[in-house]
Amino acid sequence: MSRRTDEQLLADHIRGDPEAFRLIVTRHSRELYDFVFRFTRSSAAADDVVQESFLQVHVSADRFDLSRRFKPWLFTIGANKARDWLRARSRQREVALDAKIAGDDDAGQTFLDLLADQAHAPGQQMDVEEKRRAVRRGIDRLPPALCEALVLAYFHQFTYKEMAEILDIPLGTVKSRLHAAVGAFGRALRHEQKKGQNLSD
Amino acid sequence: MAPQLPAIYDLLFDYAIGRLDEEARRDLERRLREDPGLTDELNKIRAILEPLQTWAAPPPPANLVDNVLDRIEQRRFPRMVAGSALPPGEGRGVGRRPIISLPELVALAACIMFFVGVFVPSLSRSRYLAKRAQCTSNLASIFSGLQSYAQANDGCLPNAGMRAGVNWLRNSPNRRNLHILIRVHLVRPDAMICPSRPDHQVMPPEQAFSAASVADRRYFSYDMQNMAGPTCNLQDRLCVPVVSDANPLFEGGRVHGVGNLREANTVAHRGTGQNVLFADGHREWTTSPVLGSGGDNIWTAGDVTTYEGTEVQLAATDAFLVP
Repeated sequence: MSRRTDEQLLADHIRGDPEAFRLIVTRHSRELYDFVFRFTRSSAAADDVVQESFLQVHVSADRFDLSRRFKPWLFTIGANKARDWLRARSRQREVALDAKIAGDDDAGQTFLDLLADQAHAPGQQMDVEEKRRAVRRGIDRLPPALCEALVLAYFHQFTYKEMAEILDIPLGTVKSRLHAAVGAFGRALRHEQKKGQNLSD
Repeated sequence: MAPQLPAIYDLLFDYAIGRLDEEARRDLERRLREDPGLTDELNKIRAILEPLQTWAAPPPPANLVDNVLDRIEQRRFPRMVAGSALPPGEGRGVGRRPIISLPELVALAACIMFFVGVFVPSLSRSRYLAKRAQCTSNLASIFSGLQSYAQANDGCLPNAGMRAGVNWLRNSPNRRNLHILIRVHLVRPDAMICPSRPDHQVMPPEQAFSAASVADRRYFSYDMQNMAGPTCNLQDRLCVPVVSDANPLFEGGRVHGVGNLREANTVAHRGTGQNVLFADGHREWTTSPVLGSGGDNIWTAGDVTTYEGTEVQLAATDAFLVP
């Protein structure tokens, strides 16, 4: 038996197939989790937003136009809920663990630095770890709209048209936003790498 | 408006992340070989994107799928979270899980019965009392009409020809007396209808104001003191009842077993009592037709038990309210 498409599964779910919705969740929950995590940088938020997104799909399934593709719709819901989460968090003014404790000095100590687990890895692993940190900080410097576009295109390989649908923006804006995201990330990465070199010197 | 970018940038990005189709890829590779500047641009994009590979998302919770399905189940059935993720037939099809369980249904039915038991009787009693009050108000209107009529007619009550020997059971002269009040516009037709008599209806205007019309029972819920002739100057008989709810002994224009119904109340008001209007204008709700210390029954002429329709009251103070 051939593999049912997402749209077929959703249609089967609407018709009352008890397994169809489970298959949809199984098929897409991991990828949606990755997307929301990269967007919000929070495991707890990703877990919660994924649950809320599928709940929304469940509630609105019968209003979905089955001639359209399911996955962009799911990611649209996920992106909206992730933005809601970010807005709510900005109101709560949480402090990230790698935020500086005081001052704007680049060399300032972060909350992360205060954590007890500071086991040093071998030199090569340190380089990888430094690189990972630089990427993470470079990403953190991106505005959410650019980060969103970069994640959708690079990690999830959505087409420009699908991204326009997910982000609810014109196709031309998608392309320029992606271009801007790549450029901004490149500059942020160079800045972080230079900062790392200065610290090691 | 977003600035227009050269299409080549989209192609380079797509090539860098490996999502160009075969034909587009070959075409771009040909252009890359011919244009070193384009290759530099591609390398820049690759150099920026390559570190992103280190940005791995942590693994999701092992039970993410079950958490999602449980969340949906909790939202749909807040108090029925079962061990399974979704109920069989979840959705809109056959085998759908019931909205409420049998014990909840039984509890709901019990609550409904409780509230029906508590509120319906009180609602019913409220309606009963409201109708009784409206009936009392009708008698006030009738008294007002009688009083006005008497003032304009030398203190005499309306009399449509009742005299000794006239059969009040067949000809209903007492209802004709009440009809006079309507004809001369002293009482509205609807004031003659007790709301506790659903079998009665308001007299239509073409009959209400016609001297030729018959005072049909259905247009009058009330009976009047039987009069064997003109009845004037009731000053010495102010405590005598003059109008009341209909006499049950002659309900339907015939004599019922007087012996059995002697103590019966009017059929209106569920047989619990009747409104009575006295000559002095006051109204009483009585739960028995036997009034006062003298024990006078307002439905009968003295102690007479057999009626043909020509009987009259035995004394001036003897109440005898008939159709």
